[in-house]
Amino acid sequence: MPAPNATRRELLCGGVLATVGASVLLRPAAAAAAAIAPAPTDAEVLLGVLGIEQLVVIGYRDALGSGVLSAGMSRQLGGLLSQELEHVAILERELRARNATVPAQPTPAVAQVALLRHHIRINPQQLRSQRQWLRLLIDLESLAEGAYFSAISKLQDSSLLRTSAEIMGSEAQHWTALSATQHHGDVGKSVPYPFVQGSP
Amino acid sequence: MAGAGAGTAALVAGCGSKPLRLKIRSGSKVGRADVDVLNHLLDLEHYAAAAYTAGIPLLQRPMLKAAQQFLGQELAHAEALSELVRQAGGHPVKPRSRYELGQPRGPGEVVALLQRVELAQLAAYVRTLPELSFGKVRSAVAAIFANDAQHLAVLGSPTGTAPVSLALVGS
Repeated sequence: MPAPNATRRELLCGGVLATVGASVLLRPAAAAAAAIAPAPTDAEVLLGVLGIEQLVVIGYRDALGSGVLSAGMSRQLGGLLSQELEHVAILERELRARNATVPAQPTPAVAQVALLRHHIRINPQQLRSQRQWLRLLIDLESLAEGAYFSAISKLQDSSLLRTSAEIMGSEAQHWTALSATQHHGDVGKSVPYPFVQGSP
Repeated sequence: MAGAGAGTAALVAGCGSKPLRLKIRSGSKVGRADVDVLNHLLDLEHYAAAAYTAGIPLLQRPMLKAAQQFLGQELAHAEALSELVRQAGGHPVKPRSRYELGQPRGPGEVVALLQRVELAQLAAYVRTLPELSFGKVRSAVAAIFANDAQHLAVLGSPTGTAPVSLALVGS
């Protein structure tokens, strides 16, 4: 039975949810259908990643507006938010360069549904402590890592591939920074795994 | 300081290593053309492991604990890259018998060395990623790159915690 305060990553690593790629988890018929589906365009891949980045930005903004963060935590999260906004700006620029429509920021209700679809069952409206906000943000950073991990296997353009890897590295650093804060600098918790794959 | 080639001691398996190995075994479509790139990255991982091995005796807590953790992870990276090379039909390069690591005299200089090593790795991963076969082998390599980014974040902090300074890592 997982600990009540386990993060999504802890649940995943505990075997409650598998972290093997989707091609292993799909039932045979679904796997066959996925196997013959046309490969997504770079724009389509970017749209998926941007959707995740938008959720991450919402999470940081909500945390900073919650009124429960210490001054030091607010400074840390403010710095990370500014980098997330750079990621969003890069993705939007790349989409426009490919003549794709940039989606608007989702409403809170739409964002909440999206979180549930990604198995994040934390309701930001119910968060009351800094620790709880950190847990949500760590889960969001896991989601971002996973989005880039998946995207990198699908992107065609070399420059975009490099940029996506660089952003993935940044998301991994964010995850580490937040986890270090959550666990008082314990490197066993902040850099626990040799391979960063995030969450689906 | 001339570190000997790192051994293949037991690794910090971590939760992430098993799923990545499954992905590798389940077919990351790694091709013969990937061998040179993978071996280049593997050579850098061997170098990193040698740097950590040589530097750890000069470190103190909390950076000592971090370096020990990261050494295990660098060895796991090397093992994963070696497996990819073998899957591609190639021969993984072995650690060199000797590495030139300069003459760090204390913890600060060791950390500076490790930061340079991690930065070199990050730059190499970003530069070579598009040269790899399309598909999951790129993601597998990116998973290693992102862990090295985490190492750099921790090494960049005097207390071993993790400040983050750049929105793009490796450029």
